[in-house]
Amino acid sequence: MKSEIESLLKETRAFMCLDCGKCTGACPLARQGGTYSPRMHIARMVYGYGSEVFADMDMWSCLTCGLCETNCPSNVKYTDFMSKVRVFSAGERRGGFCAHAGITHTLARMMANDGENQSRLGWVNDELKTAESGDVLYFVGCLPYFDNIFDYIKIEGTGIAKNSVELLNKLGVTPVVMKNEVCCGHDLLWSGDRDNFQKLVKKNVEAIAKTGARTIVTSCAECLRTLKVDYPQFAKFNFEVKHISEFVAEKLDGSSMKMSQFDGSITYQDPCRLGRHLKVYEPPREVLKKIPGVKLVEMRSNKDNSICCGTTHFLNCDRVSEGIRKERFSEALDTGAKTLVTACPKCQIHLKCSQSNRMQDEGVESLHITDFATMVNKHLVRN
Amino acid sequence: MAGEIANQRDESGSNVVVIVEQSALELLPDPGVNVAVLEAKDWAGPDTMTVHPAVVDKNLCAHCLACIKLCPSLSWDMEKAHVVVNEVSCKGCGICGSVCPAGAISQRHFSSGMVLEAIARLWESGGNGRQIDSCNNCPVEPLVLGRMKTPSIHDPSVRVICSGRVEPLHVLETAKIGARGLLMVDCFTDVPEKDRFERGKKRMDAGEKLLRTLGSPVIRVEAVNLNARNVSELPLVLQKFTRRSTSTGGGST
Repeated sequence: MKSEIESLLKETRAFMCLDCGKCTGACPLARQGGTYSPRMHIARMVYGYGSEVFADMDMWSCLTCGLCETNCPSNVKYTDFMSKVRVFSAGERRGGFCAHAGITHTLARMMANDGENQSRLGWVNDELKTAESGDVLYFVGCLPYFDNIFDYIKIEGTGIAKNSVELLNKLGVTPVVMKNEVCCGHDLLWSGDRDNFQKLVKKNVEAIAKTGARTIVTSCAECLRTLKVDYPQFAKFNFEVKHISEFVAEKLDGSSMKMSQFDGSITYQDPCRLGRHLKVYEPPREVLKKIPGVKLVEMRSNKDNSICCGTTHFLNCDRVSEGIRKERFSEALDTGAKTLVTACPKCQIHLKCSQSNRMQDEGVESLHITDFATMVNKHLVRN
Repeated sequence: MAGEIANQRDESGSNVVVIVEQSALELLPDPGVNVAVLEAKDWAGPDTMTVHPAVVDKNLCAHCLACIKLCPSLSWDMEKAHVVVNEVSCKGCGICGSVCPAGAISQRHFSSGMVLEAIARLWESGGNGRQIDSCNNCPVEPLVLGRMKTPSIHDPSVRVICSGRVEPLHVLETAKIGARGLLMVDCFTDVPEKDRFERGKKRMDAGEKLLRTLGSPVIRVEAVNLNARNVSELPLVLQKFTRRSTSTGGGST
């Protein structure tokens, strides 16, 4: 155990901590009046009080949004640190409070142990061109399940998947969609359940290998991060993973495709996984700017400083999370934009859930929250 | 594991889980057989009306007020700045807990974890028949108890505090242990209670849809209302439901 902790501290550069406290100052949880302190976790771990960190319930509130990392002068990898510490803590049978009774975690575990006969392609209609094998694969993620779980807050759900495939079709790509695709395992990985995560990795990598795809396109920022950064640690494969915004930006660059008119200003929410984790800031913005008439207004905190949607991996959704969302909404309203575009379905779920709350400020209800793929597909004219 | 249990149950011929609203469970006598397991004692005697009021975890509450939309017993306290439960008017039905996205609301002595645990261990008891404890909060219960004359059933049952408390997750967990059917028995008589029944039904349907998408063996999901008027139909309902679930191999089409 001791040597494991030592190697953890070395891998995540926690030994280099200067104790400056910029992380806690930047942490959105701490700023909303929570008791959360990344600095304290690192300090306790370094000085040998690891067991205190494992037992700390606050630890499960961490959004792993990476805002502390951006501000850290000695480049401590706090998100990696958190992901690994949670494995230890989960080993001691501790865990966070799962939001929505933990249904997303349960579904992921069920897929890990038996996901062969899913009927997840109900949304594919005749107008969409899909294939069973090919170069480009569209990774749907958990969207078909979110349709059922979150129908009461009217999320786009498989609408995002439909729009993404249609968008790819318009760009001349017939994407592969898999019937036996399973959850990417993001929520399990970040809540410390490595066993089931590895099962999911194995299933997905094998399924993708069978289709012969070289490029994976995903419309979910969490899937993207998991496939791109975490999968290579557990499996060997030779495909590259791209977010749909990167893919579209590449294809549209220098092409003569036309976009239809949109009147008004929009603002863009950087998902933490896409932005700070993978540094994809410009592609979605470039594509959105190509829509004629669009005025893209940035929120007060944007790009590497942007505030996250308040809940990640469906753990510990509490008043602090709600406060973060409220802050985000007030920033969005300040821009005067009527439409908020985000590139991650989870952002959409959390923001729409918050939007339906009674305590929301005036004007929040009328803010139109939509996905990047939906927005672009609506305005891209078929050649 | 789940497969083994399912096979055992197939031989004995009954593999249906019943989610029973607490007061309706009082109708199911002979708890000696295959009733849900959970270490719990009776918090009160059988003749006492016990209410387990909702409890709000202040640290988890997201201040979304989703619960307040559904129940007049919850209100927002301006001074304390969190949701408070009126313990006098709270019937302990648990509908607030079922909508809480943060999982901040639970019932005293009756958490949602207990229900899940009871479902997970349903068939482990080997018929020893320990029960999950819940309250006797339903206003129609005294009426029902007076007419309690039903033959024994041999199907495992789990009681939830109220049908409003049923969650899609319960359907998933039931499928996990290899059951073929899930019947929700409610006992409403008035309109607000009916709302809860409809809500529970809708959530069970959502659970069934999730199972379909998941490709797990789909279980037959049904809901019935049995109150003081038609309580004597319970054995028949159960019999028919068991037959339907086993003959069609679940509700799969």
